[in-house]
Amino acid sequence: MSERPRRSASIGLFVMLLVGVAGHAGAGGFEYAEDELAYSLNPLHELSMAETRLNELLFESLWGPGYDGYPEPRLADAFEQSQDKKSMTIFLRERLTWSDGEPLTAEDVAFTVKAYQNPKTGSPDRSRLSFIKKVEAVNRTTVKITFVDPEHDPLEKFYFKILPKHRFEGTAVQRTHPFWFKPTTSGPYELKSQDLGTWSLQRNPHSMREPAIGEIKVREMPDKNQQVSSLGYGYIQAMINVPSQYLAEVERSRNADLIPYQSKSWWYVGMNLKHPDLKRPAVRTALARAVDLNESLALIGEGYRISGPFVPSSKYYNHAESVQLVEQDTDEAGALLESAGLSQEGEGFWSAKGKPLKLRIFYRAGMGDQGQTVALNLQAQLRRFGIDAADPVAMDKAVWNEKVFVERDFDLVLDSWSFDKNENIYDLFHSTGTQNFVGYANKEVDKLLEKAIAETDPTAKVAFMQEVHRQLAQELPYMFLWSLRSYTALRREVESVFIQPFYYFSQFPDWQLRE
Amino acid sequence: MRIAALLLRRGLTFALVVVASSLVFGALLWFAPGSKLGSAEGASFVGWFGDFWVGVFTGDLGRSYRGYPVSQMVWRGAGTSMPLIGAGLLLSLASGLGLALAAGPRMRGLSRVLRGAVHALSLCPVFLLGYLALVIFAVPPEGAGQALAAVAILAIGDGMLSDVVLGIDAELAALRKRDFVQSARLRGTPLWRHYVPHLALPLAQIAASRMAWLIGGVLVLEMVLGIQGIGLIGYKAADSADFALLVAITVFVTAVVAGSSLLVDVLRVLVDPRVRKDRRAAGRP
Repeated sequence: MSERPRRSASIGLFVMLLVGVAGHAGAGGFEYAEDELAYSLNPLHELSMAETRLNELLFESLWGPGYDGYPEPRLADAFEQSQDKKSMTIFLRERLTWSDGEPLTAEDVAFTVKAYQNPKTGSPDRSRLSFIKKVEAVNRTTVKITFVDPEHDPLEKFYFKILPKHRFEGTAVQRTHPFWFKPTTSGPYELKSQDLGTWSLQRNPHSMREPAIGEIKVREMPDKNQQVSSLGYGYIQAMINVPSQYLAEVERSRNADLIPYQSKSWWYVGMNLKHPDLKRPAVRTALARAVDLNESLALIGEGYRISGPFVPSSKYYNHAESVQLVEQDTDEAGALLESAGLSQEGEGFWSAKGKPLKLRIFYRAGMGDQGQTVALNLQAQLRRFGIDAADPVAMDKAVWNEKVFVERDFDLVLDSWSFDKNENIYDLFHSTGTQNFVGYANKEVDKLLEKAIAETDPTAKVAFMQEVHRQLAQELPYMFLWSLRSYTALRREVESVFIQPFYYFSQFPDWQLRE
Repeated sequence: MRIAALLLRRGLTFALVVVASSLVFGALLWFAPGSKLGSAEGASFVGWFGDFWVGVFTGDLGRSYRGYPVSQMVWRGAGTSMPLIGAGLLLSLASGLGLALAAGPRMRGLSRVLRGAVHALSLCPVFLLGYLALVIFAVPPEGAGQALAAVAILAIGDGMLSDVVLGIDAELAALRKRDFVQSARLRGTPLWRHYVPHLALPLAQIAASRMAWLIGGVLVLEMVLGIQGIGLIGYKAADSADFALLVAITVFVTAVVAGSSLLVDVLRVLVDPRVRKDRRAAGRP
């Protein structure tokens, strides 16, 4: 009698295994996993890297990043700039077509610029197009752009995606416009179908860049373990970002390769400058001096420490000797706190006028295990030094936006920023910046940022940005942490892979999938 | 008539619980600091509450943050999760019954070992079983293989199978002492014919009592296996402050849990004559 249940259990497990293997064998096309699926396929309202990646596959821009990192023409064929560099005429390729068969014309380009710039659209990328003063469609394939200031090297600014005018009623495009789930595309792919957990794409027959791979499926997999397992068994061909704790496991795999790629992303601890103690630069520097950031970094993987708001490979990063990484020096930290009027009795906590310096640490839940590890480590180090740091609290997106951006009710926040090629930090550190949640205000930095955004001479712009870096490294509105070394994992049957910083799928039409 | 009145009372209690859950949860979201629901211009809680219930009956609960109609998302999520929960429940009850009957009144040798193994496996949390299934059985990210794995894990994990086996054991032990079972044994007729009708109600009660656990389990499992069911949709709704969707899912889940309890009550009234007798004796309808 007792044999029967055992036999049933064995049969059950065997059936599971068979069905699993059958599912594996049936997989076709290129399939990759995202932690969270893109919400919108409208580039005007692109909010996450998942959306950026998907839009790379669906839409074309006038210029895009080439293999050598320099802009290569996509929809644009050629351009002419006026002598004073204040205007530019762009000539589109002939016979460009949208996925619905409608012609792609200069009117679409003009419409796209106006839609991005329309405040009623509420595009998060609106400031990216603030360099354009006027746009007009001269004829079917010619667009004339007038700049706010002379532009010496404007091509990299035309990486934004072009939208089909005929799909919209006006240039004020709400986030809820049906285009977000029924897009008309110009890129290598068009939308085939969508479900709650997947977007399926198929080759766009009208695309100017014909992709080698016919179909793509993007699948939401919130759990990294599932991503690693699915990659190993061949259910997916790519895992976009492999956290450090999974590197060894993926590396051991006989079917997949780890590929390092540069990202323009860095971690920070933001300090609330409304806080009576944190508003003093000496206290902020003391906190940065009190902790060993190398120790925190070692807990979560490999990366590059940073002294300011850029990744070390950025042209804006200030490598001058005067701009040093903040290293741990608890004596110096103590002296700084004393200079700021705080005192410490024996082994107790640092306090100002008898009131202990208490700090709350928040981190975004989306940072996962790595965020938790770093937050706990920083808390422990601060407490060891004598700062009464409370247990770190993870916050999901909604609470985070409310607490940090709207109410500004925090002391220290751990998070990361990701940038595209332009590395625009204006909104983060300008006193009127929309993302300046720490409340940083420095007139000199404001002027530098304004000059940098208006500057058309690349060398001068670099100089302005490096000066911003220097000033921020001194004042530390953030504790600048590090830029993690990013790894992606791809199955070996995927060939001719080339991944650009920030633009993951920019060269995807050339990728091949070996049968 | 008395049965009808009893069922009506039960039905009213069910409705009250569901409405109360929407009221309490809606109020929490509405009056929470920084709530997007409550901060909308000209909005009132009473108005929202009324609209919500009109929406429940008309099938129009507005649009989620993602742009999909809320009712459509709830039904699609439920359409994925509920069959998994139902099948998990059935599998657990069937396996539990099989194990209990197979072991007989006195467990020996292999039976005892098997029972121990079942209890040990069943005490594993659902997420752990999910990870094991991913690694060992190559659970695919969609399709029958994924569903099969989810059903098996729900049927076993979080103490589900263990509870079911222990519950049936206790019922069987009581049944075996009953006169009609003793005489059936003496007559040599198959005992399962007597067991099954008498176990129907206890099994339904076990199922109802485990419903809330199963829904909690399915939430975790959907995260681990990436299943787009009511649990994962609810989690994402909470994460993105999609309150309209969150309230709808909460009310749906409450209705399922309270509904399963109501179903057992109805079943008990219809199947067990003792319940009607007891109520008549107590002078209650």
